[in-house]
Amino acid sequence: MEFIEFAQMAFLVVVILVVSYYLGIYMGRIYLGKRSFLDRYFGPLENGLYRLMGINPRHEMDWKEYLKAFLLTNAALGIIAFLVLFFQQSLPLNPDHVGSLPPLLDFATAASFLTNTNLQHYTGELQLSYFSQMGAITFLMFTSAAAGIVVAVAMIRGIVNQNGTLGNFYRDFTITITRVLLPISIVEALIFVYLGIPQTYQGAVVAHTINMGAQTIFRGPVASLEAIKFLGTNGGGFYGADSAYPFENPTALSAYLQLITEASIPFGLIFSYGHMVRNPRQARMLVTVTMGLFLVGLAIALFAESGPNALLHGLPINQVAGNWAGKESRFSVAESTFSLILNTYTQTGAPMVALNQMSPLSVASAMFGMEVQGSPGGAGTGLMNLLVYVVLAVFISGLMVGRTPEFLGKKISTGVMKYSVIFIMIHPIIILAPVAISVMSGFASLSSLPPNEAFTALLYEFTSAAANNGSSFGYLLTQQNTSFFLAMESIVMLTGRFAPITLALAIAGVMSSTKPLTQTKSLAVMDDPIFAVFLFLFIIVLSALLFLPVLALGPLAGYLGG
Amino acid sequence: MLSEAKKQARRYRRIAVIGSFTGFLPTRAARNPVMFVVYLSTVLMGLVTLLPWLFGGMLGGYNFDFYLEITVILLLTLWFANFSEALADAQGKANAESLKGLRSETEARRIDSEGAARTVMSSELRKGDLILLKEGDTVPIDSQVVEGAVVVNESMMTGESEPQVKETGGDKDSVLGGTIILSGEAKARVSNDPGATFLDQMINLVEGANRQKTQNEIALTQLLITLSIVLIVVITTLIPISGFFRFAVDIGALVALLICLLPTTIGALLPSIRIAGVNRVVRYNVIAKSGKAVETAGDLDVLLLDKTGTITMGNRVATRIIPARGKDEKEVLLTAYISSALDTTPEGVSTMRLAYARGARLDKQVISELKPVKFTAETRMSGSDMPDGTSVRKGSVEAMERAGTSVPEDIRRKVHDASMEGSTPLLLTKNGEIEGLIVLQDIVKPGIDARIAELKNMGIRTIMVTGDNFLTAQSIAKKVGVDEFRAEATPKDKMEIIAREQSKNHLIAMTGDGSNDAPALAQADVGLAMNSGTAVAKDAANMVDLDSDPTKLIEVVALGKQLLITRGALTTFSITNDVAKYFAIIPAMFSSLLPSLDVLNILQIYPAPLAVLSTLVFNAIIIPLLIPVAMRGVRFQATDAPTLLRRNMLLYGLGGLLSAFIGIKLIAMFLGLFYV
Repeated sequence: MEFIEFAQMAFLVVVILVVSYYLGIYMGRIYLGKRSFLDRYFGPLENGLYRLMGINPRHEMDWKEYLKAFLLTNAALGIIAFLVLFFQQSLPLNPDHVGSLPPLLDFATAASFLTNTNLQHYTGELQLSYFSQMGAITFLMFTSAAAGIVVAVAMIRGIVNQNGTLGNFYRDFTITITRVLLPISIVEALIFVYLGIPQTYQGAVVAHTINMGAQTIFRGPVASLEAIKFLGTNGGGFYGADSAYPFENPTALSAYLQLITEASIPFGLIFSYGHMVRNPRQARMLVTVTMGLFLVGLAIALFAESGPNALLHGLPINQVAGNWAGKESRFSVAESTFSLILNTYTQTGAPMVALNQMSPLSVASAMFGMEVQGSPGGAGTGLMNLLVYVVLAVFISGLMVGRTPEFLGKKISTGVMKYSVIFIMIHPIIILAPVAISVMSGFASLSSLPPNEAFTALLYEFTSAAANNGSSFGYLLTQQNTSFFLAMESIVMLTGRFAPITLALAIAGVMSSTKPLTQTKSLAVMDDPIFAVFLFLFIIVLSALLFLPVLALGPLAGYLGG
Repeated sequence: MLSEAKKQARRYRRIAVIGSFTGFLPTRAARNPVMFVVYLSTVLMGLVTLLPWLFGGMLGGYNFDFYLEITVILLLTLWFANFSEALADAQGKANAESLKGLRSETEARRIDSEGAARTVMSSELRKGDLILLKEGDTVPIDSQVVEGAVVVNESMMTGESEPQVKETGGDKDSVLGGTIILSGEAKARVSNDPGATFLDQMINLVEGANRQKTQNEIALTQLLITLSIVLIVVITTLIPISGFFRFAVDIGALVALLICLLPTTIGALLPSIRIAGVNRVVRYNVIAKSGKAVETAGDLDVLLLDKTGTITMGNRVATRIIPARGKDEKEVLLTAYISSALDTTPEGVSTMRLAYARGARLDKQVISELKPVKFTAETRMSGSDMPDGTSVRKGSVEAMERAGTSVPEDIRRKVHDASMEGSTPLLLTKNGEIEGLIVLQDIVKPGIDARIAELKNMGIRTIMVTGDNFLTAQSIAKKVGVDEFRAEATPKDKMEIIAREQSKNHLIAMTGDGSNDAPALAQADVGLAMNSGTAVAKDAANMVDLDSDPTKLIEVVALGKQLLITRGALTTFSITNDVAKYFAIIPAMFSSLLPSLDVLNILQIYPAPLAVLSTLVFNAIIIPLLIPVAMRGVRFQATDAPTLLRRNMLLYGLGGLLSAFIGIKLIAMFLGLFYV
């Protein structure tokens, strides 16, 4: 690896940490209800909304109320998005006159964007109207990000509070959009427009190329989607090719801006957590652990990509500069690899590479990020996963030092433990069971591919769906199995989103009604660096324990050559 | 006697062996979820081995020897698990037996209906019986004085070093079992049945009649169950997935992988860790009313320590005799000797010894003519009357002043100085005139300062309570290094300290024995009652020390921590073991499908079935190998939590990883000798 590539990544890591620190502190402050300069602009808007919806934002909810509000809101949003997609043919803003989609695809798409997954089994520029892109896709990108963040905030409140309450869902949800997502997206969308990303209601234009050909250039409200796509760790593109399409990622600056944006909320929320529980040291430790996991994944992928592509072996291709297959020549191998790993470890899922041409080892590393889900994970859901890992690590390490385990002074009760272990159990099951069902049903017989590659693609698909990531190998669906996969993936995405969130809110509820013990310094394990080491190893060993057999059969065997 | 013990040991071993077989009953097996999965897998493997036609074409290949070997090893795994639990159970039974011999008994004088006193054992006394208390007696049981008055030394019970006057009427009429009558004679009515029923309750607990899982164990079990369920999913989905590769994964290898990955080590040892934890406490002669109490002990972060008995020996000893200004030292020493010549209290004896050591001598003749003056509640001084009518007295400044002695300024200053250093000064007078000062000192128990430093290291705060005055208390507190102290404390103060600490969300423990300690013992998170204490106190407490040594509280904390650490350490060991097992089994399982996975075969075990069997054998024999650790408990050092975590991570985390790699390889090398 050349020095410049190393410098590119070091720059990105440093900027991500700095940006997420300040964003995290800012978010921590707004969830604590501190005053900010935005009060003047958004305060009246928020109050208007509360009045319109008949909500008392000062009402503190217990976990069941919070969950109910969360699920109801999501159900409503999902239905709206489904209806928008379903009736897109007759709705306005359809300059290219696209037709309607099959209802199951409407449902799968609504589920995909509702759950912050953004697996796309349609081609945006061909199959969606501008109204759908805005009213279903971009709209859900805002709400799904906000919903994820709100769950993380509720968990933090559960740790801080002692009265059983988690805050007000509607207020949290509203201010997440008005104070965090909207302002940043507006500014960033304008920058994207400046950098060359289209933002128009006008339809596609036909260009006449110099060799007398005709090329249809698709455009639309892209920039406004692009900002929240990364800020909210959504990852679903306006175009079918997503971030590999120049109109979504025109320049190096836009590429860097997107990478920094997608990492800022996942890392930032850890800082918010430290700010809200008044333990910045703890936050720094967790950031170190998550960044450590990310860097390990990145190192593995870089190692794989700096070598030659095994599939091109024997062809007259000079591979001294590493594996350039599937990457844009505008970016370095390191930048492209960084994009793949960051997109899978933050559950954004919009890498600027072609997955199927990456080294299988990079794919394994990417999958590992989606299996862990908390390094740093998606907006809100990442911290949620991380905190559950912390609960389990605290439990075992607490036993090892001879005290009933405590989470920042709160004893880990059997209730918290019960919900946490079920939480951990869900993820592997909703990946492995659908994979097993797919191969048993025969829908996954990808005769065109070698079995190992086909299996990797299949495993990747469900891992991505379960982790609500959204990146995909893309060649699983055939004429015969489309309905099967759409249905199966929708179930996996919805379970992978709402089951853990339900459990996380239950954990928060139990913790919120637990009184903390005062800890003397030498008793508190969680603040010591050794706990960070323990947590780091615990996450790796736990994930390896659950996923090593399938990883061995899929990408590892692919890397080693069968 | 020895042969008797041997016979008993053999009997318990037999019980353990029998118990290890009854564990194979399905109803018993189902109690331990992790081992139940092993149980079902064993049944499955047995069927596969003996009745392969049941499975029709579902089996990829059939290898009778290999499957039989797996079935046998699985049976062994189960038997080892059963044995470890049965062994701990048998040990508990042995402990219960020895407990029964520990009921403390004293003699008592029971007054029958004719009014005659007859000597009986304290255990024969019942509530309502009338007993006679005489000078020198140990009060056999809690009772109420109904006639006469006695002076009682209650220091061993309440920490109060001042002798207490007990008489009929008023609220000072109850005498506590275990206290000593210093003077007087009284009739008293027994207010409680003997503590035997209480002890029986304990014995039941130790015998395992009603052992409950604690919160921590339930939580850990939840974790283990979930891990087992997920691993079952991980393993069973491998069947269709290998079908995708047109490869039939061997059922034997699959079952072996599942069993090896299940947390069988911790799952098998969990019950014996719990039982052994309670047993270990019993071996310290402490009885816990529940396993929960033992665990809570590990969580304590504040200890309320009685000065008397815990920090100091309990009896004060004369260390200096200072003559008043203008008095001849020899004369003063002699006076001190006379004042205590007939005094049998520890203070008196030590004063006499000191005077003797400093050269004071008294004729036997003179001694026999002395008339002893006992300490009474009214005068609050003691001493001797000489035949010529000279009265020699020693007592506190306050008592002397009350008796009309004027205390000059220089003496007052010396009194103050003595108090400052934690000593108790007594004035020595002859005919009401001050001769000098006897300085009594609390002797701090040797090593107690180190123990308190240890506690501090573990992050536990210590609060000393004492009936002494502020200066004395302060000086002792400083000497031994306690974090806080409360002087002139009453039992009510203990209650108040406990409430205060609990309101700040601390977990606090205390020791106590008096009935007036009962509310505080009940309120404290861990209340350790002395066996010599009252039944009320023992009822209120959640632990009882049979040796009546309050210092045990410190040991109890360590035992509680040890119980949790043993669980955590073996869980970590169990999980890191799995990593090594993966490296042994995965390449073996897929060796014919994906030869490239041999890179993972870092142990280089061939052929594949040997790798599977070796791992399975390791998985089985690690259980009996760790039984001693489970029974004895992991070594506990009094250090801060991060150091402990670092140490245990290395020992049981890294140790678990390495021991599995090395163990599996060694077993493979050994089995390889026979494997064709």
